[in-house]
Amino acid sequence: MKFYTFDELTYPSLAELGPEFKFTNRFCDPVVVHRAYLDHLEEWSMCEDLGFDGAFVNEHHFTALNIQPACNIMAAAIIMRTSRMKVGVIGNVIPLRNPVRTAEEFAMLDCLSGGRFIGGIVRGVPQEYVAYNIDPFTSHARQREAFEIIHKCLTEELFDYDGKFWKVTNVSIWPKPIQRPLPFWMPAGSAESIEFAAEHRICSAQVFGPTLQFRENFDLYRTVARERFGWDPGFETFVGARLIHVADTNQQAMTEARDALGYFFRTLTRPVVNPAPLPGHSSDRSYAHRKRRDQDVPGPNTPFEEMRRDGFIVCGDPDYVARWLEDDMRGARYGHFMGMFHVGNLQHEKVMRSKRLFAEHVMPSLKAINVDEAAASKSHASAAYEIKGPRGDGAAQTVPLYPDFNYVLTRDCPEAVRSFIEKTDGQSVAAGWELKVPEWGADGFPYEIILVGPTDDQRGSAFRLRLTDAEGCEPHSAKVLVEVMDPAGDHRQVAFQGRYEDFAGIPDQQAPEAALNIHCRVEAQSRFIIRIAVTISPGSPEPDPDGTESFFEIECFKHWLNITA
Amino acid sequence: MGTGYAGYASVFNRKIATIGQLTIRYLEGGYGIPLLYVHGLEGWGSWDSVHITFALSNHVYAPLLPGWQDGRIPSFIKSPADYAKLMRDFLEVAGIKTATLVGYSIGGWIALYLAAEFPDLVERLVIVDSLGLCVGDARPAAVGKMDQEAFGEAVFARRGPVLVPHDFNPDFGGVFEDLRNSPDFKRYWRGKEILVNWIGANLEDSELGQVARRIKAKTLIVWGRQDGLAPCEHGGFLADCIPQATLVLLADAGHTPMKDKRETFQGFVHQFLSNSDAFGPDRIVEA
Repeated sequence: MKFYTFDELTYPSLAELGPEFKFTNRFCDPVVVHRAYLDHLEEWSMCEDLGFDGAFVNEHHFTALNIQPACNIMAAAIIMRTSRMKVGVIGNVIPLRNPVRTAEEFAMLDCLSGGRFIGGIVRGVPQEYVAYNIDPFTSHARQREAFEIIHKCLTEELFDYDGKFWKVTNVSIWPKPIQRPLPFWMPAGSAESIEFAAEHRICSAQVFGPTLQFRENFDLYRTVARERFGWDPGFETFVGARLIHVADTNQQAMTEARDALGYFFRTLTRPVVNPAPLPGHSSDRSYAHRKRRDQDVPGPNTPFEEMRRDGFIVCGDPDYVARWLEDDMRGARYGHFMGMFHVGNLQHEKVMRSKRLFAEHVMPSLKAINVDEAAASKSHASAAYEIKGPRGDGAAQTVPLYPDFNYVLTRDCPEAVRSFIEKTDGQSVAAGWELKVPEWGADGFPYEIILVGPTDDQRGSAFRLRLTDAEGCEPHSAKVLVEVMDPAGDHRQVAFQGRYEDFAGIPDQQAPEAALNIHCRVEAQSRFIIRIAVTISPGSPEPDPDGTESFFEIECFKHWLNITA
Repeated sequence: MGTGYAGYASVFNRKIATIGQLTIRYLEGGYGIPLLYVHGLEGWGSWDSVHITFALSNHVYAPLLPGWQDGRIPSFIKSPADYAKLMRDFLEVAGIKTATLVGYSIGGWIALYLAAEFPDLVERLVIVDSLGLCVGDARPAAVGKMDQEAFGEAVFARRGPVLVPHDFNPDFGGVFEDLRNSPDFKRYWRGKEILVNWIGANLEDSELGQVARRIKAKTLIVWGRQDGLAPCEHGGFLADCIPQATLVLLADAGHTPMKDKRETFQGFVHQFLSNSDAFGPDRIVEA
């Protein structure tokens, strides 16, 4: 078993008002928020010294229940206060956020933490769709699409995405995460969310339910994973989250937690104007799934003892808590326990005390539970985001041509100045093409052309060439030279020097990886000349660079120098 | 114009329209082209999920049929066709030239007359478990003789406890209740009493089929397969009558598909209201 701390960061001092009041930010004192932030940060970061495995924060909007709508900021604050334990979010409301931005922040947090970050996603609650004015019928589709984009951001070097809700191009995020794959967690209560998590091998968290409910949802995940997606999740795929309060005696714990839990329910009221359930956010299937159980989230009038019995809050002395949790962990079969120690407006000192008691007297007796399959499950869970190599089999491969070219020089490109046929030494003939990089591009910005030379992992810019005479015949023997020089003809740089036969010997120069490559990196700056010359042996027919079958292509990089104010 | 604005759809106003000596109370909310919702036996409640569904893509007008609150139906309203004329007047007073029309149960009966008699007013039509049809052997329920138990069996398909949202926060979990003990049941029962006192126990309008054949508007018909008041054969008959109609039959739903299969019902209606072109003619969907 691994242990985490996680809280709804509840605004702690709402006035005693009835449900007829909507808790708008009229009741929010930012100074109180400041103090609450510092209290929670201390409570979360102390867990590292207490031996916890991690700390999680989450995101809600427009509610006193949770006052960290940008929870990634809070995660960063925890990261800077810790050095060992994991720090995660569970999670970001990805259907309502820009997914690229989410991925960028996750990658940043992973780098900031040195690879300790756990990403998390949630679909969001209806009030958030109301305030963002988003169609709730699209929530699942938005989540699916957003996650796909986040996944691509975190795993692919460069991609485009043309979705229904987001269209992005040329995305290559900086930084990328340290962890490959970056682990993900999500709460999954509905049948659809459980299936989504199983499909993507995301750790699934259950909260606010009795042991049997946890067990049923984890079992549904296991069944879906095995039967539909061909993998077998272990304990480490499952997270049980519970409100918890530990004190020296059962009576003391219950006394302290009772009012705090009442406060928690007061903040759970709907904060927006519409009183009706929002259509489209749930499904009849999920209602049917939940109907099989004898209770859902308890209402505010549920007796405290009943909520304690069912584990809505685990509350007692260390012995009681340890025994209750052991039964829960074994019954529901999860491998991560997430304790929500800061219940409602429970006092800071009591939360600290509760955590110390838990760490000292409860954690040690539970550590050995549900760990047997953990290693095996981890290997499964990791597989989802592993980056496959070009072949994936580790076999030796030919070094590819330079893949990132964004421009191709040809005899018809705007830089082409002229073709030429020149006698070189009275006998040989040099034919080819001359290009000039203009002073300004069409949009008024200067640019340079870079012909890319070989590196360890690529061969350099592809270079294709064919030069024929008037009859369509190629020279038998010729030399090819590509060089770059400044406007005065000085500072010559040779990019390629080779034999024409090597070009002629390639059956199809356009075939993948078939072309020859530039030999040496050169930069053709503004007004520089690029010259492609084929020098033919004496006696050969005169070449015709303007003939229909003559051509050249150099795949290069056009580097725009954006000079903007 | 886009659709799906949950924020706009969640905000509504209570208003009053005056037509001659008559005042009509109505709810108004949402954004988009006008939509008139003619309620069913349940009468008029708050701005409910079903209103929000309509309002995700429309500007909704949901009047309370005069007499449906206190049982004192104005004397000049002797039939659903008279209510249809009143709804036409309501649209005129509201300044609406064309609207999407949604009618449920007794409201469906009224909406069929409205769509047939005033075709220029009705751009699209949604009919849900309409009363009033007369279809061979598939006789409507003899509501005048029903006790509460029989009525409950006829109206609601669900049995035993059902999950209903919490009052304190409908977004977050819920509780299990027996629907028969719910305010919903009481509203439907009361509506039935008003109906019987008004037009008697005979729910068959022999002219309604011919009326439906005159409807030009693109139409979505939604029916609960287990409707014990207006059997689902009535939905099939109606789909045969209306040239541009799509019929959706909801399994495990009675006369209250928006309660029995809430999300499925709302999903179909939202889809139709957002893009009715996606619904072809003669399509019968079993859900």
